[in-house]
This record gives sequence, C-alpha cells and structure tokens, in this order.
Amino acid sequence: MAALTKPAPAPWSEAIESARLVLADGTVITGYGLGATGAAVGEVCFNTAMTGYQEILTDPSYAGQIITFTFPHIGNVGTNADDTEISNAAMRSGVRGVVLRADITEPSNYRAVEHLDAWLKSAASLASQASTHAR
Amino acid sequence: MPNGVIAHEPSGMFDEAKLLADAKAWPGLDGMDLVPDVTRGQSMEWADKRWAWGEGYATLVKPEFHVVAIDYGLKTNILRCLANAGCRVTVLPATAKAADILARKPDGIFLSNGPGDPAATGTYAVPEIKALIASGTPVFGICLGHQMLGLALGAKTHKMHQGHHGANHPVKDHTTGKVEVVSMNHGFAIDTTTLPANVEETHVSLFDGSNCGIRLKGKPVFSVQHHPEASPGPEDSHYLFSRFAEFMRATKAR
Repeated sequence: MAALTKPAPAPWSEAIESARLVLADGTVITGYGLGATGAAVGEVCFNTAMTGYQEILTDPSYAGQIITFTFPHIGNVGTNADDTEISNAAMRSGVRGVVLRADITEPSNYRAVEHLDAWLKSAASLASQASTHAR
Repeated sequence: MPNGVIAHEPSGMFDEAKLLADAKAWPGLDGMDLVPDVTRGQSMEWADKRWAWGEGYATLVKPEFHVVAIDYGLKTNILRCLANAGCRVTVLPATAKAADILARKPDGIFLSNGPGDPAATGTYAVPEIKALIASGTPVFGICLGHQMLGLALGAKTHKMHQGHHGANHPVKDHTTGKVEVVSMNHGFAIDTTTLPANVEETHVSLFDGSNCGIRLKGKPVFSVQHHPEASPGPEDSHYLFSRFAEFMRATKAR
C-alpha cells in the first residue's frame, strides 16, 4: 500500500473570492477584489452611463458613496491625467468604492496612460478606497 | 439606496459580522455634510478652456467677466466651460463669506456641485448665498449649488428614493420648450411644492417630473440640478453657460 502523499497541485488555479459587499440589511455579495485593499462604508448608488467612468470616479459629488456601474465593461480605455474632474488636489475623500461586472481588459486607447486597476490602487489619483467586481 | 461596506482583502478572509455592524452603524447621507472632505483650503485662479482638437487646453486670453466660484466639490470641467463663456474664475473655499466674495467685485457668482445633504451644508452656506442674492450680482448654481440656492430662496429639499445617476436623462426647459438630454448625478432634490411664489421652475425631469431648474423671477439668479458641463457629454445644456454670460453682460451694462 502506497504511503499517503500530499495531492499534486491542480494544473489550474482558482481565483480567491477576495471581495465582499455587505449591505445594512444583511445581504452579502461575494466578488473578486481590484484596486486598493481595505474596507469602506458608504451609500451604494449606481450610474447608468456607458462612458466617462474616470470622470464619474473623480467627481467629488460621490463622496460618501459606493458606485455600481450598470454598464458591464468599465476600464477598457484605461485612464489618463486629463480626465480627472477633481479640481482640488488636496481633496481628502471622494468616492468610497466601486462595483464592476466584468474583468477589466487591457486599455485600448491612444490616450490611455494607466490601467484602471493600477489607477484605483494609487491614492494619488483618487481619494478612493476598496473596489470590487461581483460575478 | 442601501448603505453598505465594500471590502477587498487578497486572502479572501473576512469578518462579515464586523462588516455588517459597520454598514448598520453608518448614519447615511441624510443629514450628512460631506463638503469639508472635498472643498479647498486656499483660493485658486482659473482661465483654461475646454479641450479642442489641435489646441488642447487653451488659456482664455481676454476675459469678458470675472466670476467667483464657491467650491463645494467643484468639477474641473465646470471651470473650463466658464472659461469658454468668457470668464476668468476665482475659486474660493465652501466657507467663504459673502462679504469677502463681494469685496472682489465679481461680475457673477457660481455655486458648484458637491456631495451630501444640501440642508446639512446649508446650515453655514445658505446665509452667505442669501447675502449674495441680495447684492444683485448674477448667480448660477449646479447640483448641490442648485439645491442650496433653492434653500436660500425659501424652498425645501428632500432625499430621493434612488436619485438620478446617468448620462442620458431627458430634461425639459420650460423657458424655451426644448428637451435636452443631460448627465445627472444627484440623490437629493428640491421639493417643487415648496417653491415660493417669486421662484419659477425652469427645468423638469421627464423621467419622474422632479425639479431640475429654478430661477428667481425677474432676477439674474438661476440654477440647474443636472450637469451642463458633463464630460464626455452630452453637451445639449452648454447654453446654460451662455445664459449666465448674458445675465452678467446685461448686469454690467446697467
């Protein structure tokens, strides 16, 4: 009888469900994290626009809110310095979090400077915190 | 809209009970003044115009007007649209006093967009806005600035069920009869039934009939709930910046 051995690792890897959206009514939505790590509290709102995600994410009016984009493909033209709507570089806190549907693709636009995921991670470009995408 | 906690932890290990407790403990936007989180501490001068093909962001060379903009969470494209309308802009913090603003002798005053509950921010902003209206200087407001202008004129605001957040909302301008497709982002609105007799409703949402614009009758004081400056558009409402310029031109000529 052969000795028990540790099973060989699977030839594929399962993505860790690294994000949660917990609503005040007890609803828990599981997803895959992107952008910055940590936790943030806010009002979960939505935006139905199909374009202009960088302008939406940098609009100071979203302070205290977590934006759910109803359009599934967000981030596909990347980000740049010109489209930031924040006019006050010393702003303390804008949008608290982002909920997306689809994986962010590689940016495809001549104006793209940075991938949306990398941009969300950098506190300099956005006073934002956690982000997720649910599936 | 529900309150919630969003969390990202690469290990996938969460204390969901703690997250739920945090979501329940958060008081919500109703009654919350979030303007101190986003407004500036120092003034700023602005004269750059909207991006144009072959020119980029050109600077306004010969300004026709000087506008003081109060920053409650000001979007940059509003400044660019004002510059395109011939304004050089001085941006001041949300706590700026009416006396300091009027001492700069502006041709017009702009009340910016911003976050949170207008009634909460209004506790310190509305008395100043009342004094600005009384000065006779043209006033233009957008979004939070619109809601607080409404409060200053005697109306009330309320929290909406879901609010409007999108880029293809139809709004009717009663003054021209035209319908414009606009960008929207608001969770509070002016309660039309509370508008005093000297204030007219100029714009209305064709989705739910909620208020989208007001004007103080016979005065160069007006505001809209939607975002005429929206980038990347729609650009149907750019005429509102021209309307502001016309008010300033008429007031200067007097």
